[in-house]
Amino acid sequence: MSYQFTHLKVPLIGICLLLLPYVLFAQVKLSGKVTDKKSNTPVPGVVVREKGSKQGTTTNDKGQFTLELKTANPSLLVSFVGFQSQEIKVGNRSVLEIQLEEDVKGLNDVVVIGYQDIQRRKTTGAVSSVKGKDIENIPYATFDQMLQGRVAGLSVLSVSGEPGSNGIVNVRGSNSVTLGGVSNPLYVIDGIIYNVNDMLPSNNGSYNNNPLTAINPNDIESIDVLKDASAAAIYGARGANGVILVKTKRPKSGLPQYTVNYYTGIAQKPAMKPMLVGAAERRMKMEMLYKSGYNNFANLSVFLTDSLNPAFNNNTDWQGIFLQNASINNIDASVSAANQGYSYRLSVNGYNEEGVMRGYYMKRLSPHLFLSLNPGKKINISIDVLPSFVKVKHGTGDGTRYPFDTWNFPSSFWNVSPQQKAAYQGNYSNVLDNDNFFYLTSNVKLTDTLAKHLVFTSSFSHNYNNNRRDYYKDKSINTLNRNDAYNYNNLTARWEVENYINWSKTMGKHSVSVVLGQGAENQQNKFTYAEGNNLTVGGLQTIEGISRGNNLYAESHLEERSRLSWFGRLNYEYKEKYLVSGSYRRDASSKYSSNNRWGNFYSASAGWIVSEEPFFEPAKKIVNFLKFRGSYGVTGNDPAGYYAKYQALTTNASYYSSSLGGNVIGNMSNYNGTTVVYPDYNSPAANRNITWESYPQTDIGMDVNLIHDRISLTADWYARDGKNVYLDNVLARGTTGYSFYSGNLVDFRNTGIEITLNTSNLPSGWKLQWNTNFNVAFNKNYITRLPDNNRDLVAGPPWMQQTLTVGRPMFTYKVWQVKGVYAKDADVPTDPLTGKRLTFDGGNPYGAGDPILVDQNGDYKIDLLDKVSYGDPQAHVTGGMTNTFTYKGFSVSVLCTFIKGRKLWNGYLSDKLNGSSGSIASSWGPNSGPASDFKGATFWQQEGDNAQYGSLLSNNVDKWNIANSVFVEDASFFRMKNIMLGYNFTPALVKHLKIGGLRIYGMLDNIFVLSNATVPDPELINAAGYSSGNDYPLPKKYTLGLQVQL
Amino acid sequence: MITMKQLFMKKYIFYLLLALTITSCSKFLDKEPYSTATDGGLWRTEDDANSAVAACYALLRMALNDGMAYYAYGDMPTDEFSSTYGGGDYAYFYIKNGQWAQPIPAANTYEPVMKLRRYENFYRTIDQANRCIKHIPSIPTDRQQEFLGEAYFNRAFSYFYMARVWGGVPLVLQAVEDVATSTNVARATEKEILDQAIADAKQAIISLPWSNGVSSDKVVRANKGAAYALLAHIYAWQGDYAKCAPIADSVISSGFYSYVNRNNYLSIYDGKSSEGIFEIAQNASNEGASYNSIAFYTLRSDKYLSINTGNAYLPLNLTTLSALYNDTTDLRRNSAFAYLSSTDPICIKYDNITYNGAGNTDPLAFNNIIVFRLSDITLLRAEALAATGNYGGARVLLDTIRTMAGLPHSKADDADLFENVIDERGRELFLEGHRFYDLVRLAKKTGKVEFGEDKISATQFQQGKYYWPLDPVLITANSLLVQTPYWKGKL
Repeated sequence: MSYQFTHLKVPLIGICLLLLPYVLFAQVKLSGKVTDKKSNTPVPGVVVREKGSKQGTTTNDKGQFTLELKTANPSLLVSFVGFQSQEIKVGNRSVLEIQLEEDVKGLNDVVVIGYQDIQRRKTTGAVSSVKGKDIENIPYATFDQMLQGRVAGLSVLSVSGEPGSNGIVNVRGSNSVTLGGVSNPLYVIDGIIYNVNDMLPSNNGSYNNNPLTAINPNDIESIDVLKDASAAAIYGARGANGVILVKTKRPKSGLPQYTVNYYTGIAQKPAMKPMLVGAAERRMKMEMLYKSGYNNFANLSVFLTDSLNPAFNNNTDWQGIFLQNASINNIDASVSAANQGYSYRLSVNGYNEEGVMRGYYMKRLSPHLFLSLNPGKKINISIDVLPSFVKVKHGTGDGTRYPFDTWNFPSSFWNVSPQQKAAYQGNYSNVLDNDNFFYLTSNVKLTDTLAKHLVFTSSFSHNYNNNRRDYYKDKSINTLNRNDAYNYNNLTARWEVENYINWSKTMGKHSVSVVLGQGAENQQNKFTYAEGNNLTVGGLQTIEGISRGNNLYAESHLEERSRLSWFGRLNYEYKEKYLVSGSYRRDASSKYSSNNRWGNFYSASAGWIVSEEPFFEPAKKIVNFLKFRGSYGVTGNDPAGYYAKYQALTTNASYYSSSLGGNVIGNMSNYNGTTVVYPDYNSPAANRNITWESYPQTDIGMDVNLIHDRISLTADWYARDGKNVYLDNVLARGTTGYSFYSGNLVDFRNTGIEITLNTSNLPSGWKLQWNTNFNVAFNKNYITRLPDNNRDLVAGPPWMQQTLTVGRPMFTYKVWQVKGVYAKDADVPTDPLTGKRLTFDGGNPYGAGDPILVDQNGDYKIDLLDKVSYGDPQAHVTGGMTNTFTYKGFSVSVLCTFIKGRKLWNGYLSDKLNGSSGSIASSWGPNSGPASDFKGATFWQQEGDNAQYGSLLSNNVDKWNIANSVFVEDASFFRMKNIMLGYNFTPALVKHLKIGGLRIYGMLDNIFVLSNATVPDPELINAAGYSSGNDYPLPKKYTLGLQVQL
Repeated sequence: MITMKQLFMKKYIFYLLLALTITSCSKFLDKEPYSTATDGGLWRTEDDANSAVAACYALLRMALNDGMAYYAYGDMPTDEFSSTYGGGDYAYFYIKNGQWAQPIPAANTYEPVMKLRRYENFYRTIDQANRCIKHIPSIPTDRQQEFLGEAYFNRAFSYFYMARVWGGVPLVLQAVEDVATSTNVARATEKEILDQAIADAKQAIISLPWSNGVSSDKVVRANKGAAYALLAHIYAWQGDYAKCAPIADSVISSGFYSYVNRNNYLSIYDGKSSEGIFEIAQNASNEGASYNSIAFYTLRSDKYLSINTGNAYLPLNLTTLSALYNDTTDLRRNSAFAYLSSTDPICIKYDNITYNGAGNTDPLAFNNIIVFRLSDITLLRAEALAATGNYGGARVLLDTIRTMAGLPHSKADDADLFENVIDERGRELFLEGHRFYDLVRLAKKTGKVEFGEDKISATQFQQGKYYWPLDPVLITANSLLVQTPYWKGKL
């Protein structure tokens, strides 16, 4: 301490000197204490200012302050984030007790919109916020997953329950025209750009790691979601997908304040996909065969017929081998202090989540230091350093969840010896798979008040994300029967400089604030990959002891981009009720050629606080606050590759049927010994005229508070167009040699309505309080322009095609429409010309027990031309409801979430049935096949059956092809997502323990889900809408925790 | 003494400099790729030019292998192969039986039928040749003319090949600059395509040396002989036999090529034999072929291909075999075939298999595609002489080939001599990608339609069935394209 003090002596002395005049001319000395009305605990860090003078102070850790008053009839202005501001007439009192009331409506919260702080009540844009304490201690590695159902228009969906994995996060619908792509919003962490779209690891075998694992969720003070262009346009080229601002906790009080928080819990071994096992499986399958008149019993697999053979009469639980109860542990510790000369906050987080699938985990250690210094009266230097060390492991490491896929998932008849079981489980945990991430996010900022109302800021930010993975694949689990070692090294390094000037002034009824600035950004991505095959020396698990040649392969990759920006924003308000704001930003990106380089992004918005008008006075008793606002603006996106304007050449000389032999790694690259080089015709042709995508957006909204602010309602209508969106899989003319070409080729629109309703359901005087937050968003998206005269664009493999069609949502499923099952052969339509029954693609005719596919074009042939659009993977309605009950120190909060309108492609059912439909005799035994319980699905067995699906016993017409409308299911769900229970110990007890505060809490997460879909979890489908059913399950979690303030 | 004002000035200057550092560097936004080759970095040295030209051949190699194109176009729909369904030839069943309108979903780009109906592969070779023709003149190298000659050769060869497969195709003579704004190109007539091929081949003859700049490139990259051979073939295809004969003779009389002893017949197919004129290199290190190559479709049993213990995937036509090789002393019959007395004889021209794995596993085939060789050109000249009435000259050439194979001189009448030469080509060039075109020339010249087992009937021949259809995918992307006449309305 003394050492630190010595260093701070000079500024401290300076500050004392600056205070000297006030000491000399002190008139009235006032002291006071600020407490939270609800908990009756002191609130440190509250700003107390004297109205009409420049002086002010903040409360210390005991909530106390002193102030020398100088004006006659002094009034105090008391404000603190999250509480209602107050103006208090001092009168002749010299001691004040001030009670703060929580600001439920949040109108006075400050939102940092692009280099400016703006009070929420005065924003003209669509901004939604979540408080850090609402998501505190939820047992997830990343905060994005905690936001499901909390913000209207922010759709958050998990695709995997794997610790630290990526999900689908969209603000006001998807902007991705790439099948399976996710248009993640732009994250801004304490002013530092954190663009996960530009950060996702390339193919390093780490699959799905979410870069947000770098951020400790418990460090978050608040999250603001900027949804419309007025707020996001200042982020220009990066704002198209919406912007999520994250503010971390800042020091508040004078003396060092210490907090420790710990929670522990379990992720429950997930409920397995329901499946019949053992005798029940055999009985079910045999009954089905008998009933359907199966006639090949002689050849039936012994797995089914020989029920006495110990090799096949087991009831092995295949899923159970790979699932487990897993532990979750989290610890946070922090110390912070604020003073006039300096302030700091240091926090450390340790998070350790084990996988409910064996061999998976995610561990994080992330210290965070914020330091702010005032070396001079007008100068502030702040340093923000957020390093994060993340380590993950993914089972065997080759991307598979189970060693078998859904297609041929083994039946329970198989015998698994304890040794085999141990081997299966060991394979998932004992291989070297060192997948380490090091994230360093940092910022240094200099702020100088150049003159009255004029502040200059220079900020330097840096993101350094390194992922290194060392992976060893032992012979025992390697299908190539050799020991292989792999090394991946991924580095993303980005720096950004921003200089800007803020000027703000209030002149009578006019209030103006302006920011003008410039910025420059540079990013380099580096990637090294090395692979060594056939390691022979025992114990070696990295690429060692391999001689040059076919067993050794390496490649390295380096790419770089840069950007220059100019930006400005103006806010003007008149009489604090007429609000106007505009912003303009100009960005140049190195991705585009010099004449297409600059993009202009701008916005204009206006707001009118009607409730401040004199004529509104009579209604004000009921309507306390009413604001209308509207905005229009253009944001952008530059999603193309770093060198998309250059036509890439390739050295690939491989040809159809060519081989280097024996799984030799690397490519054939020469013709008769000469290395070849030519344009990469197999990749989409480059487009030298490629440029920015732009997203014009209109938003009209209102905010209204009713009945003493007990009801607050926010409603928005918006329409956001994607213009000139980049696409690279458009069919090229064959004469160009290219298969596909790229360009700014697609337009689409996302439009919808968002409603947020907050209510306090009980009178404010009651000790029991019940608050409800309900939010819902309706979004519709459809394509408005496609290249080549709006020709449909087809994506996906031949059997799973999804299309972009003008007027339709993105990526509708193309399937054959199914209308039941043919009861008898005679029901199949017959071609009057040939007298033959309807066929599958000119081949086998349809018959009894086959699905009735609609022959759309009436050619008595079911082929690709008969496919129709059938739903899409976009969530059309999303929302959530939080009910919070508090009574004295107790609190209970329940979050339920829902989505509607999303369709999924049920690969689980399709694959299960396909896998055993080829040959019943041989596959019904060893494969689980129809033994899975598909939530009561019924199959046609004999004439007269009215079943959902066709007969399991024949498959002449590829009836389990996933492109059947019966496999497109409603993915809507309602989920009880989270219950939080907490108890704050009374101040008396806390005092007794000589600590500042004590809270215990518990959490239940993913309590249940309701849905009509037959897949194991309707949320776990990928961005393209496909569910394999073999995905990593989303477990239930239970935790208990303790939070102590010292 | 620094005044307060000066101090502030200093600070402002500092801030101003801070701001200026951002904008002062105009190069800041110019980022060239480090890890991707682009034209900006290429086209400077002889090595660059050499790699670019080698790429033409690599692209041609892709085109001729994709869907086994060289043999699928040139051999399968002929009397060489049985029309029955072989064990593993589901993909080629329709192809060998002339059922080229088989419906294939647009997304099933892996289907050989679709591959063979699409021409992108050839336009890749053409585009790369166009790029070479555009850029190489500015590269200072002693081999400039040779490289340009190779580029013209590749373009000529590609157009000639497409003309044989589809007839008229779009004519593109400029390197593609911007695919997004490129325009539709309609099909030119077959004559226009062939005229262009002739012009390019002539240009290649002028530019190319007899001896390749690098001796190891002999045969697998074009020289003057390859260009002459190509030109001779183009004339023959056009039926312009008067021009064909002397051009073919330029190759034969050059003294640059010599026949391989028919007792070592199979060494021709390993590649780079003394007889080779133009071949596609597939036998150098790192060039082997595996599944889906001609070797894997025609070989069987332990001795030739250990991994196929059943029948050959593409069964040969026994009738044709016994008719063509009715003289059982034919050295070519006895060298190039196996299991002749069984029901599943195989052609072992492409049996240069190397096993990479223990116990004869992991086979790789190392056989060049033999495009032109001396006996091919000799017989082509014989054909031209027979067609133009120089029967004596034709017989001399024909008997040269027969004598080498251990056969007596031809006893054919003058009237039958043309067909006799085509038959000899059938024996000599069995499964070398020539038979289909030979039969087309035969039918055009003599009216004898002999594709075997009704793969193409005489009527169908008249209607032009020997030209392939264009895949509908090509027409979707290029509205000016019209379907090959015979196939209109059939797919």
